[in-house]
Amino acid sequence: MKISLAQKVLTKKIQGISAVVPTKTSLPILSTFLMEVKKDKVHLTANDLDVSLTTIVDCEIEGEGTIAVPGKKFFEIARSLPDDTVEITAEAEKLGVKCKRSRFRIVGKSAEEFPKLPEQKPLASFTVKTETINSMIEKTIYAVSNDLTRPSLCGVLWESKGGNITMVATDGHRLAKVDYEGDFKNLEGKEFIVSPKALNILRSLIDEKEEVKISLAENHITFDLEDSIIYSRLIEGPFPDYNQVIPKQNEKELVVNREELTDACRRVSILSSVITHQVKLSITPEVLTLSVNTPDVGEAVEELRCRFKGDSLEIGYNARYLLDILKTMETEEVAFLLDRSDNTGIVVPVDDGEDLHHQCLLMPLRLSD
Amino acid sequence: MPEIHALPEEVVRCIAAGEVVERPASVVKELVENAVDAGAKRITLRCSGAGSKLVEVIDNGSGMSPEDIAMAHQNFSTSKITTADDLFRISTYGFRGEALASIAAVSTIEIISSSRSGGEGWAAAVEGMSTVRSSPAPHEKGTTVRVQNLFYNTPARKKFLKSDLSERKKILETFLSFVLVIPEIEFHYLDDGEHVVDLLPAASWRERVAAVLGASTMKHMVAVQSKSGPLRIGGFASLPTYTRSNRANQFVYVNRRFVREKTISHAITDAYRNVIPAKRFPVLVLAVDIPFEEVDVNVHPRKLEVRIKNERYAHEAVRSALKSALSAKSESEMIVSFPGQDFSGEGAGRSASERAKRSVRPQPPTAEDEHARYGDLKVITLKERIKDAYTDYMVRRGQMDFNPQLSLRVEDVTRKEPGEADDWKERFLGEESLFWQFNNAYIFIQVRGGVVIIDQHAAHERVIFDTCKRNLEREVQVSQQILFPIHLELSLGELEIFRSSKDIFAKIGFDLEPFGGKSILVRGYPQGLKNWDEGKLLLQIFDDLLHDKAPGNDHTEKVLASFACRSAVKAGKKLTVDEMRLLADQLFASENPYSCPHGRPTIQRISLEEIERWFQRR
Repeated sequence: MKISLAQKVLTKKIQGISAVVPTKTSLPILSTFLMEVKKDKVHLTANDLDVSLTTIVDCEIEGEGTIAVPGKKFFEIARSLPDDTVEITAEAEKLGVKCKRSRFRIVGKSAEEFPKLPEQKPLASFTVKTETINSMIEKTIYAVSNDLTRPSLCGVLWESKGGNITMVATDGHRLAKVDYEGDFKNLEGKEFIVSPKALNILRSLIDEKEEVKISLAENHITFDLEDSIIYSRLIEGPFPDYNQVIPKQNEKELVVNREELTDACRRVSILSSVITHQVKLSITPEVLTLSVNTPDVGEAVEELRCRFKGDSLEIGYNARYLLDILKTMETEEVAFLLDRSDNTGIVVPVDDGEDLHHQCLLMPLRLSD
Repeated sequence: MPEIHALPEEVVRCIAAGEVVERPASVVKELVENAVDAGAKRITLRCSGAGSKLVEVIDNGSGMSPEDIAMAHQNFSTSKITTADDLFRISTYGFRGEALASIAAVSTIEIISSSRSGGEGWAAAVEGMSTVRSSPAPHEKGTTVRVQNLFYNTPARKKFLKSDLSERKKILETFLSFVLVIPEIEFHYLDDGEHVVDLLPAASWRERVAAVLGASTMKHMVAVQSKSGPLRIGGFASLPTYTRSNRANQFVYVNRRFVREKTISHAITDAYRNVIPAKRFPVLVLAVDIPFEEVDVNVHPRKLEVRIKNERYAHEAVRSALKSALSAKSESEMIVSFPGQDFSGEGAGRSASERAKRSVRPQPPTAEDEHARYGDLKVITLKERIKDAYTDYMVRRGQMDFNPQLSLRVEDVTRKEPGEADDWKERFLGEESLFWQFNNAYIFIQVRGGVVIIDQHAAHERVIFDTCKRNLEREVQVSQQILFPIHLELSLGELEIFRSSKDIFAKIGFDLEPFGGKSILVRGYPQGLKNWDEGKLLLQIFDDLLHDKAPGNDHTEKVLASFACRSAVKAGKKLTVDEMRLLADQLFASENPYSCPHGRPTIQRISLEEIERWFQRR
């Protein structure tokens, strides 16, 4: 086999799949990527056994073949080559690279060793606008847990009811949920948990694309972006029954300007404890006071205008959690639906978009006094 | 014939001697005490055959007249006290008048002494109980007591002597117990003609202690100095990082008398509790001065035990003196003087000026003397060196100012944006760092003049323990409420632990409530908690408490220790540079950074000199 392509294209494509190549692994083959020359296209695939990413490159081709290429060395060579056409040949398990006056021969591995993707019949396929999927991922992924002792929380739940798709993520301290009103009849009743790594890779690749084709199989999910295919093993459930913990009787409503709150929270949290990140919200009908008091560090107070229906209330939150939530909202104002100071609070954007509905749950820090 | 009869005097004396003279070291102790009491400025000890052939003590003290020499070996003859009242104001080592008599009962004694300068003295040889020979003999001012053939007439006792080696050790230890606490006297010790100790008068107590314990040990010692009511406490104590496997290096003195006193040893154990490992013992030279009327030394024939009137007070005073010396705050001041002797009661103790002259106990250097000699000299301690170097490094790297939002979090690989920050170069080539994690368990930090190594688990344990303790005192509790409350089924034993400790758990930040039967509901846990593992953490803590596996003085401390241990980051966990830095910062900010609550060390330091020595560059 022999292929020729521009150095810039080669470097960009390899960099694209580098996110999947594990930096440390006990399986040496995983530190390689697979180069497959089929018909008129080159497929480059990296696989870490959970997620596999294939990128498809158009280029000049003579003959077919496959080889596993050492990822790090090949990338270093590619990026240091001059900006010209790169000619790559493969013979047995040796890879040749030629560019202007540079010549390299790299010892590769047999493609046979490279992990194969399991063949599974898709249960359902559907197409979503990339803009929508991007927004849904952004609004949920921050709440994914990293506690490996509860694997089901280490991913984003997708479920479909009445033609809608809902994504939910939670780490037990906060929960993010976004509903998309659509017409996904063939997904009805399906529930699956997707790894955040696959979703992050998806987001990094969809910027120029209109749509993504998603195929769901028994144990895995595939995102097809034409020139890239992401394959990801699904995370085993069950996901906890989140509907049960969404409060129904939070009648005290606090409305506040999102940007003002974000800025104030960021400022006062400079002095918050590095362990608890605690910030206290003292809520009265017109003024919301944010305060931080950390022994040995200092105190900070910030006052904001707000609208509040209900008796005055004091609630403690983890400032980082609060900022994470505010960051994912785009509206001018946000509303907090509250009950008691030790109960679950709901945060929603005021005047949300038409087809996306976003809602966050935030557990308070029980105040010390 | 009556069955009961009075024992002949020889037998009585042999029995009495058994209490005083247990082994050659006891002879050394009695003779050296006499020499010190005689106001000697130079004391020489010569032994042979591990003390069983010969123990000879030569001093240049006040000496004795021929009449005194003849009396000296009689039972209960002494120059040190006269009336029973004096017993409560004892400022000399000896007073019972038993020593020479007891020794004489089990050995051959020869006393040569002169109370005048000019070299004319008198010698008396005693065997058994009677003076066998008495004649003029040349001797400089002072006294020589020669004890030979120890236990020649009590073969049973002789049989019970330990090996020569252990008797030698005991003799040396006894001798050193004087050497350590009387720096102004010149001491020599020759064992079978070999010079073992040759020490000129020391300029300071510190110098003498360093000469005995060795300069390298001294580096690990902090000064102890405190005054608490009538008690004065002074000395040197090793840092928790420097311990020994037995108490042989603990020298405790009450009124400069070497003692094995329970109250004080217990106070020492308490002061080091939670900071040194089990079965390890600090190196310690500790002098406690108590007004003479507050302490009874007339308890034990060898005076190894004393009775302190107000034991509880003494215990607390010693414990807090050590604690404060070991905590970071008072460490810089390494200049130590003896605890003062200017107790109000002391004057009364020497009612007669005559006796005052005779009982010339060496006066310890006062704090002023020491200060005048050393000025404000500061000796930098281990901790300061580490801390100093660390601060220096922080300033140099301009990193004092790092992100305050950091906390020990699991490295969040899942959220990295691929392609951007996750550049392949950075991923593979790594970034240069002054923090390096070894074996996913130890953090190596490059500091000025060396490397500091931190055990990540032990260090984090210490940080959590201290933080919780502080929060408990301040009554600050922050509990992160959880969305999905967790239901835990307990055993009866665990349920009992829960009932008896729920207030403490609430104060740490757990939100627990009984949930009918043997189960409880967890609604919240301390914010920033690691290893929660769906409540398994709590069950592990209950288990520790149930089986009394956590260290601590009281229940609260045990709960905290168990919580700290179970929730601390485990060995084997990969930490990011920021996490390592945060942990190091928190550890250095801790009051007690050297060990975890179980007593395992948290920090070690390898100096550049040491490394240079490895490579023979020094």
